[in-house]
Amino acid sequence: MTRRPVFTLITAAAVVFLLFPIVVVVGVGLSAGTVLTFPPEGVSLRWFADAVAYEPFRSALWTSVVVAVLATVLALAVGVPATYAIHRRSPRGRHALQLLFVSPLIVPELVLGFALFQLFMVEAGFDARTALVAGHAVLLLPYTVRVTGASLQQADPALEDAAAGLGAGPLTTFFRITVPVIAPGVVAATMLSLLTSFNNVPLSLMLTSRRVETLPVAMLEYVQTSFTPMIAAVSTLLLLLTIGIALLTERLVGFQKVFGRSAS
Amino acid sequence: MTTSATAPPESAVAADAVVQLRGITRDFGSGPVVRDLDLTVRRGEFMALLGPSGCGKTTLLRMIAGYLEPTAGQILINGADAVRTPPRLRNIGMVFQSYALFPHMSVTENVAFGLRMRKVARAERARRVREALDLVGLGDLGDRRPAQLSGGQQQRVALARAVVLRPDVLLLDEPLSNLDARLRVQLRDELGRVQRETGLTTVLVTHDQEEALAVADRIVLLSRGRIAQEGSPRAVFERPRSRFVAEFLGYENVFELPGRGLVAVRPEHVEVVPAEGPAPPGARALDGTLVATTYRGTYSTATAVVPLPGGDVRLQGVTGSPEPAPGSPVRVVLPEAAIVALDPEESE
Repeated sequence: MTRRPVFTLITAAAVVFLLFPIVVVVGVGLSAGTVLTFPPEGVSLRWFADAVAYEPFRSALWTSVVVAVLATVLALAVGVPATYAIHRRSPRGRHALQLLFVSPLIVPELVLGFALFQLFMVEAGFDARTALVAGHAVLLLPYTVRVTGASLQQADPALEDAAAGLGAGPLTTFFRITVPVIAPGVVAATMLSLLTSFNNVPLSLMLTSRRVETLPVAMLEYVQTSFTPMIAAVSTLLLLLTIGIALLTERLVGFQKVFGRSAS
Repeated sequence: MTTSATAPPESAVAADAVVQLRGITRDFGSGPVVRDLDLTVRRGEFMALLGPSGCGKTTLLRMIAGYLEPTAGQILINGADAVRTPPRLRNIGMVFQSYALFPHMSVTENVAFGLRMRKVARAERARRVREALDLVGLGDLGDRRPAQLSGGQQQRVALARAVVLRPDVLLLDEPLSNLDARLRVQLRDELGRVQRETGLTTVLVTHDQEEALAVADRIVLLSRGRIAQEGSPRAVFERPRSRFVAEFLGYENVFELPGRGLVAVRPEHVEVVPAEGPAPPGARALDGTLVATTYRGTYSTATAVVPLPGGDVRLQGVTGSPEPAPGSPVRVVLPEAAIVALDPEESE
């Protein structure tokens, strides 16, 4: 592609380094044999069938989906109005508020998980599913605040004034102007939140019980005792689901909104 | 508006007054930005609120539009008290500095938004939107999104969106400041044309004196929240009253002239000639020393230091060729007609 062969070589090496393990996982999942080896011993879908039929994975998947959806809704319900207030109403101490809302990003997740475990399950007596939803909502808040904040920041603050000057009341202005303007940001935040919650391990690990666990935690538990290609098969399925959500996001709003262009 | 002696009686003003501000003060907490200001906008006039940044002109405009409440004072629109009337209930069209076009709507939808809010029937809405877009020369771009338009086109959409409502007052907040120089002149003239064609009462906020001189019928020059001077563009430009107004309008020579008090002279009216040159009739000549000259193509500017009873004064003027050498004695010639006497008591 270029006249810079060294650069091209390094790039190719990096891509192989990043993608090869995934190829291995998918390959092992398709194995017909009974042990985790690569290249696989023959090709079959038996481990996929087993993974789908395996009861602990099925219930864990359901838990993961419920937790991801509810935690995302909760995080959006708190995060979007908070972002709006921070960017449009400029409250006293807005910087402190902004910092507070992104602080879950810098606290190590295991520490956060343990703190929430203490608070939710020991002190407040939440059951595991409630604790997971609440804990994940805390984890997702920074994403909802940052991503919707970015689209609000790009929008002209005079838009709302202009609408008011043209005769729109506060509610009309909010629904006809503000919401459409930040909608791509909210969609992006939703997708990012779903993915983050769905793939989370450290926080979930602290907040699960013997009967209620998320899919990644169930998988972790499974590999501690068994070592069959089924784990590779379920990993592949998880991968496909994640790619699906990512592609949907790209179709809806574009990756730039989610991950930022340069420094937004 | 500065002295009661020159203002017509209250009732006479009210007859053609669209907006009346009485004793308006606005304080954001760190001292007043607008101070006890009286101003009347008359029906059909094109007024320019001119002044340096921080003089309170945008604050004043936002109070007329209703986005800001004055800390004290009265705002009358068409004779009715409007201090607590929110923007959406004032019939005012505003063009924002950033244009504030709705990015998710087409040009047509942007222009139609205000009419929709006023529940104007569909057929009339379509007709008025078309009229407004034709007025600003965008008749065939109705389906575009704002992001697909150039800066100048966006500015025209913003103007059409405000004009289509036939507002009591059209407010323009530095509408040309985001455009490049050539486009600015073109759109400035177009603003003038649109105002003449619609007859809308218009208030333009600007820091650019050229813009104000070119389009306005009346200039109100603000300084630190007060009116420094107001009048026709010619009256303000040719007869500045105070040091502040003179300096803002480009009178670079403001000094105490013996026998005349504080005066202002534009540098392009001052001639710097060799000391032995003749003193022309009808002009004051001051002797001094040349400090520097700058070549400007069709002419050169010169800076000379002139000793006066109050101390040395640096004066700017133009000089012909051959240019006198720096350090040489020169004569600074001030035509009587170019000397403007200032009010030394007036600080702003």
